Amino acid sequence: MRESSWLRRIRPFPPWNDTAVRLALTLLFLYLFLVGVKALETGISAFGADLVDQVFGSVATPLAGLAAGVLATVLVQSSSVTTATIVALVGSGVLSVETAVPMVMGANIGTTVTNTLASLGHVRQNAYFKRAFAAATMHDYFNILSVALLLPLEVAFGLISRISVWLTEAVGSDLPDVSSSSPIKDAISAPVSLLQDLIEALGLAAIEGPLLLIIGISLIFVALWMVTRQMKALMSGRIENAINNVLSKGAGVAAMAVGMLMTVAVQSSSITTSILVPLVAAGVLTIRNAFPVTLGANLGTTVTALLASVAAATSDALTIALAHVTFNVLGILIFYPMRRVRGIPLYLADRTAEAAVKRKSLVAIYVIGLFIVTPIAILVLS
Amino acid sequence: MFSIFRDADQLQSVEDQINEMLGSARRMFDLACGALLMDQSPTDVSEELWSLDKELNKTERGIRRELLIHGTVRGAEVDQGLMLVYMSITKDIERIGDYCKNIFDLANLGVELRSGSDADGLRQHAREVADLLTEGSDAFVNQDSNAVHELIPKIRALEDHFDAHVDTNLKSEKPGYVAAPRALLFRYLKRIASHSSNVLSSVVMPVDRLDFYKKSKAVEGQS
Repeated sequence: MRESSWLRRIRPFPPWNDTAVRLALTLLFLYLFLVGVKALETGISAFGADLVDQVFGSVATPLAGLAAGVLATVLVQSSSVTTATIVALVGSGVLSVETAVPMVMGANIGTTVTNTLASLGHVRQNAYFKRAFAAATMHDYFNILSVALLLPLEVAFGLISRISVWLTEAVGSDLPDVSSSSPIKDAISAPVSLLQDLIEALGLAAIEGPLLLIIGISLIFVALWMVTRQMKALMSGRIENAINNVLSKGAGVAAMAVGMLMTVAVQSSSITTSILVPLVAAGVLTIRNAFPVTLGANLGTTVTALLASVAAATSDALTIALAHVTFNVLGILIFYPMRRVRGIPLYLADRTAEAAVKRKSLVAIYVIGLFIVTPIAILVLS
Repeated sequence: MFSIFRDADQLQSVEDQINEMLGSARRMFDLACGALLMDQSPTDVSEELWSLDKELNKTERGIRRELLIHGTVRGAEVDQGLMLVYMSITKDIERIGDYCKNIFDLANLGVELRSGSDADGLRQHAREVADLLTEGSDAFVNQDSNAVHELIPKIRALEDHFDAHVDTNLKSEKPGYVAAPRALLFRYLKRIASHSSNVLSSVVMPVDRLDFYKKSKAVEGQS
């Protein structure tokens, strides 16, 4: 039976004690996330060097790294999990920053699959679907175009790696030595050491590497999922308010900041961008106004890698996290300030959506082709 | 910058806006009837009436947007029934505003109903609707199901009464400039009462029976 009295309706906001519990849970899962990164890093280090070379040798070329980043993110449906894993790989010394940069770019492309899939929910009504698909694919095009411009520059001149190394040195001079001991690092390492002791005590030392790797990835995945859940419950009212403000104030840097803060708050760019899709579909938000929010979400999602770098043993982990930030900042600097350039991803998204409405089979070709077939083909050919 | 991220209960905000809309509709009715049946000049009230109408329409659009955002952000947590109710009643309140405008238009077109032999009767009917809007608004804001069960039958009786007046005027032998505005006025009063009843039905009826009041099917305040 419907609660017809709104005074007796179950309020959507938790009382203060519920908020306190959710905040405590968020902190706990953030801690577990960092423990997961550390476990993953330790697990990879425990592998033999030959095995590591064999596994990661296949992503040594930039295009293969890019494809691996796309595919991994599509599979786990979270760029945060992928980038946290990449940070752990770099932190353990398995991947160099230069090898990891294309993977981070791939993660940026892969994460756009979620809102593209969300747009398919509007397929029944052509006008709605056209707007929804355009809103989703503008994110794809922004990332693809950014990669198309920045990956060659990275390969030729190490543009992103160099900036990130410079930033690490600049930031690092104000931070404690990343490889040295600190109370936070000790607190993150302690459970991993306990796990190692337990694995040895159980006589499983021979498979310590794979075990820690599985535990690490599982912890990263579950912890991020739980952080997102808790934060979404805590932040829903604020997110609604922020979107209302974006709608009333239009596009611009403020909208970008809203997208960024929303994503930092819920630790998921997919949530932010997927919220935009139905709003654009319904016509209350134009794709031009949704664009800066999407760019802000792209930037906001980089905070996960920065967090993960806290758990890592080397400064390279911080460098790759900063590479993620650098890539997104450069993308925004290229595609946002100038009106004509800003229009390119929007135009491409509009045209794609128009074609998709005329021939719905193109949607399947686009999604499967871009997010699955192309990366697999690149990996196979590499 | 961070002020736009302040926590806010969007549904509470929607409810507050609906309550404000009810107040605006009530004020519009007073202004329109004042111009047509009392001593107020149409030119004196037109500015306030039109601005209230604009505000009503703007609020309706704002509520729709807020509900869409609420549904999108909250997903499965959302009380879908409540959202549909809000959509429906804001449309009813906006329609009340439109009929008030229609009443005002009669005055603005120079229709003279202040001094005829039936002027007191017309004013009495307008007062009944005004009281109904006030009591209805109170019952709605307080979600008072008992008051709603008392008010809706009264509204039904008023509607029948107004219908009879419409019928009488349409079939009357009086000249068109006498009968037509009266028929229109009674029609508008009836529609205002009906939309008010629709709003009230949301307090006691299930969503699928919104606007279709039947005491035996009510989910609130059944004895």
